[in-house]
Amino acid sequence: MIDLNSALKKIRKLLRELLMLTKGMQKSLVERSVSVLQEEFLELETAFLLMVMGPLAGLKTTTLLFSLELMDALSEEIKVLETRAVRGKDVMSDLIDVLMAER
Amino acid sequence: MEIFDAIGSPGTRPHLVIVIGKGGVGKTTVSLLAAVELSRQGPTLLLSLDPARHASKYLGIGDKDFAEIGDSLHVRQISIDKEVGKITSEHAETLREVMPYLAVLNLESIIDVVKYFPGVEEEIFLRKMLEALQERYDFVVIDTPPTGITLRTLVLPRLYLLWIDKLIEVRERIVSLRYVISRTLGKDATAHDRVLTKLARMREDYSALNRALSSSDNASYIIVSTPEPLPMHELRESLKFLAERLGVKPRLLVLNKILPQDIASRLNVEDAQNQYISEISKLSTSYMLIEYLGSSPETLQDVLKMREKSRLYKK
Repeated sequence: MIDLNSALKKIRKLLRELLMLTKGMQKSLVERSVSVLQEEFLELETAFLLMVMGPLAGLKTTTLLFSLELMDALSEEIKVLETRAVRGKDVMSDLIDVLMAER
Repeated sequence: MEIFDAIGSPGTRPHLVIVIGKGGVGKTTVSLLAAVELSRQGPTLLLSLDPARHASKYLGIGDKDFAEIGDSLHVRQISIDKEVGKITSEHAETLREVMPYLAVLNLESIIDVVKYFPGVEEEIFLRKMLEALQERYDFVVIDTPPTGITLRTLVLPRLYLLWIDKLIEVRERIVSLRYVISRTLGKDATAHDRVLTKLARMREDYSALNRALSSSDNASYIIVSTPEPLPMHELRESLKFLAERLGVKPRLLVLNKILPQDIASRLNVEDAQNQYISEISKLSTSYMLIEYLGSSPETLQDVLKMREKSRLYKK
């Protein structure tokens, strides 16, 4: 009987460890997938912002009024992305600097 | 009635009548003539994008941006400076935030900076054409700026559509990635995106304009020239451009300021003048010959005198 209890404990411990392992692997898989997606997201966001806001920093990617037309809809994104830029005197140029470097 | 005869009854309203030509050939006078004639058929707007404001001068409306000339003819003079001012004021605060070197300038100076950005004139012209499509007139006669700007502007909607399609493609991927990442991490997410909505609206507008500019139901082109080498060269270039880029043929070619034979002979330009008339007559487009008035028109009455000096050859 003693041996049976001990064996059951061992099996329970093993199952718990297996469960932990599965959960950990699942979490790690999700995190790795998310990190790949996040990387693509960041790159695309950078490319998009470069294409649309280029004229404000002297890049002839599109026309100025086209950029201005989209600027209000992008204002939140510009603010968030600004935080990735080195804080200098010219926010847009610094931002473009960082975006170009990231590419 | 002659210009209306050449244009025919429009398929859709407002029907855009776009008058193209080299500076100094008489675009504004032909536009006025067309607008006066068309206003007898239905409410007509003369939209002047001519930076020299010649239409305002002929109509004696001074600095006014809008004037009613009779019941069915209205005139709107567009000023690039004022339009840039309006757009810049709308975005001045955001511009100051993202381009801090502008922050030290007052609004007037920011407008000056924006005004001289490449392509701004063409874009204002484009916006005005977009607005013209929403006008409640039967005809909108557009007195255009010099040929180069006009032709570049006419092809812009098509380029914009290519550009917008690409942006929509990238943006849709961004929005879907943002959604998937948020949901996977157990955060709230929405598939709504202001930028995509804005891009979709812009796509709709530019598609409508592109369709209108390439359709004879929506738009008629009048090319004005004088019997001289450079204006004739621009006429040929404009014909080629309209055919190749927009797939349209002008409704009317106008050869203005034709000298009486004796004067042309005295000035030794008779042969050249006859050659240009013959060249135009061989094309498959209706054309109008207008004799030289003897002096530059100063008033609407002077412009209307051109009707007595004009002759339409319909094809």
